Amino acid sequence: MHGSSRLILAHFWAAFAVFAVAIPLGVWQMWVRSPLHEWLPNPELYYRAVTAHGTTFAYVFPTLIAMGFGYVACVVSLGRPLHGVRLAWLAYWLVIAGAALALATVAAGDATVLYTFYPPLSGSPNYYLGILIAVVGSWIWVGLMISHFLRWKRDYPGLPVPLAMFATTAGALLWSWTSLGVGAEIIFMILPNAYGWTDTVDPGLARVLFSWTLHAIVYFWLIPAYIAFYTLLPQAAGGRLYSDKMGRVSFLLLLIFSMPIGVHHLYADPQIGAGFKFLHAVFTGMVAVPTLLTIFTICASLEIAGRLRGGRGLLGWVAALPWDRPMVLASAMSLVMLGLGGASGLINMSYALNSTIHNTQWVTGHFHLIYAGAVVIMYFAIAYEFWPHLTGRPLVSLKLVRLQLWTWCIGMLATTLPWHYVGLLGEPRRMAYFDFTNPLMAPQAFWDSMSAISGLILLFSAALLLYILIASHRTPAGVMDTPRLSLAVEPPRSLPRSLNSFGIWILLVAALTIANYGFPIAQFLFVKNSSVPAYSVEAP
Amino acid sequence: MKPKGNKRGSGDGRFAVWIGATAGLFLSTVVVGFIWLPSAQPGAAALDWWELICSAAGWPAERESFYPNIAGTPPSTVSWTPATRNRLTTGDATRGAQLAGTCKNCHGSNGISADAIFPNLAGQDVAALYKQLEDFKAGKRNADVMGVYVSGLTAQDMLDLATYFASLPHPVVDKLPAKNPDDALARQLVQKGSPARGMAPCSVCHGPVAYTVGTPGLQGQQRAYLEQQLQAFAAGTRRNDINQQMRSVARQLTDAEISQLSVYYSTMSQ
Repeated sequence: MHGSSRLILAHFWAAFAVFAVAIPLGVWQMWVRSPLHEWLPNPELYYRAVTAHGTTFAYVFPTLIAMGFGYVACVVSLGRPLHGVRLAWLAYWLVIAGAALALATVAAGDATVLYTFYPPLSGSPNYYLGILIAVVGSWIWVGLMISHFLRWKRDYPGLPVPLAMFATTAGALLWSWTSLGVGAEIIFMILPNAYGWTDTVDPGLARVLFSWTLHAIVYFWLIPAYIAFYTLLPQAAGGRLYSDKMGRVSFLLLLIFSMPIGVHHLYADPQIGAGFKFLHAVFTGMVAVPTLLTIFTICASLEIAGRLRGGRGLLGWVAALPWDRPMVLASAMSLVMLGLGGASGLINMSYALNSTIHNTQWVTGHFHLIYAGAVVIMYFAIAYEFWPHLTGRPLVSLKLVRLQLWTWCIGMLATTLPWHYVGLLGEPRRMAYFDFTNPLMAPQAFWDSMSAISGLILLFSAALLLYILIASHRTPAGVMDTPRLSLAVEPPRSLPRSLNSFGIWILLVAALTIANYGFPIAQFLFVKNSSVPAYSVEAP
Repeated sequence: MKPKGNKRGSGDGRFAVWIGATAGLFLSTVVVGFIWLPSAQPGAAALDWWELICSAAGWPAERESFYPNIAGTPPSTVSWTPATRNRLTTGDATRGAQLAGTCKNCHGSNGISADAIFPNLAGQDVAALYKQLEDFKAGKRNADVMGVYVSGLTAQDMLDLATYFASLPHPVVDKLPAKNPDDALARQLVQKGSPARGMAPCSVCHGPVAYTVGTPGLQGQQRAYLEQQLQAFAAGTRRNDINQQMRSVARQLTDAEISQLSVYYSTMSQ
């Protein structure tokens, strides 16, 4: 790995360390609010666990994976060492320090505000400061990725930037732009209020700024999974990528359309006009395009692999795929969960249909299926793919790896599909307990119990993942191949500027953001009496 | 050597196509979302084009109509504006202690009453104490007893008194009573509320789960006082609850529930 293995491993290990802490918290939440457990005497503990779980999985775990995998994409696709390694370590330690500060504050009970902050709830400033430090750390990584992209282009003018690097840069640009929303909310609204410099906070404006971040952040989490689909899966399946250009188009569309759509999280918010809700709904529909392009390209690539391996007939190539390989197995599971979660997402993004499931457990089911299911299982696959290259040691057992992937997939489906159903029945999300003796709630008891029990499967799977990673790190050193990325059927020799650069696309992203967010934000300069006093949740 | 197609400024038609398509999508969505859909809403016929666009943008045409004039007298003269809340942090407990001599005759020398009909004041929230004093003085709460004591107090006096009693040690700690088969009704109401009657759990405003601004914590409060006040809210003889929050709950409670609730909160102690 061109001398970068330590840096990359540090990212992966830190990510899986926080994963190990936050997964049991999620399982515990499902358990204590299910009919299988008595009511918590103090619901504060539940919300503290929700805040820690959400903070870890929104700001820390995927950021570390995206950063680590970004460095992998850099060194493997560009075939040369990283530059700015000291800055990379600085970014790493900022993320670690910020995460530690934020999570310690939550653990102390001083910031039970959930990871979405929800002003006028107000916690200890240390919590927000911690998140800000972590985000600033990730901005250094963004700078490094852009710098690697530009330097390579300078050194090899006219040649296509390798797809993995192109996509990683798209992800970095997306994150830099979308994290400005939450950054502005923390710096200009929440921190001054938490420090007592301002008496009031405007929840409407805060929610609009958070929505700026809230949807595209999911695509920032998703992009490593998509990069794996395009650049790791075809080779792991024994074939080639169907189209390199389709990959570039998909990543560009993700960059352009995932940002100016966040108002679809605010359909029930009175401070946004219906016209803007409609506008964002239409553009939300557009992000389905790169996902559909990706599913098409990946299935075509897998068909190439299956036929190369002797598959015949309409679907014979499916059976011929090497299902014993973790990357192939995980990708198929990921696509199944992406399909189901994407379908429930279509309900969420529809202005009218959304009202039936708004703020219900359906929404929790949707984003866990997409993120904790489709995306995180690809993080596992990425870790399994590169662990031997990073540690110089083979994986301890492929059988255990497959068991881990199966239990994660089954556990996640069995956890989240019941959530969808109880959401349809009207079960609200973010509740510390439910009164299942109420006839209206009684039909949900069985399904909530099913989710809680499925959580134990996920706990087992998480423990197995950690065992495999630790045990593989301790096996005797072996001789590992050089890591390689998938070749396209027709590798591009030269590309038009539109598929090999970002300059004009960034302008388009900025223009769309101003068009879609300009008025919803600027209106707060003129609306009066929309600020309220904060409600402190700090422990007395 | 740079391939010809990649030179800066060389015509890559995709930019124009993509940007044009995106702009086209944006403009057509704006036409549909800001003109056509709002014009199809009931009552849209009375609006001109500009008003349609403003309504879709969420901009009310007449800002004044946003704040309707409400007839009648408010249930309290206290409102929890930032200014009020900031002022509540400026009380002087020492001065309050000097003024509190008379109060102690009924509310106890340490703010814990010896007679169950008088509420404990020790360790109560400043905002809750202040609001009741203001309401007594303004005649918003029945002041047969308290009227004579509050009539001479200034706003600063009331703030200092509230700060003093808030500073005294609370008689109880946050702790749920041991399970008792006789308090099932109260336990249900305090912890879960009564969704079928539209009643939120008592504990989410009055503690121990959470406290909303200006709401008294009830743990360890005097039993007879709690029962009397719930009956007063139910009968409508006490009316200083903003938006009838307490009256709408209390009038749905049965006598047995009121009695159990009073016992439950009064025994929520060490």
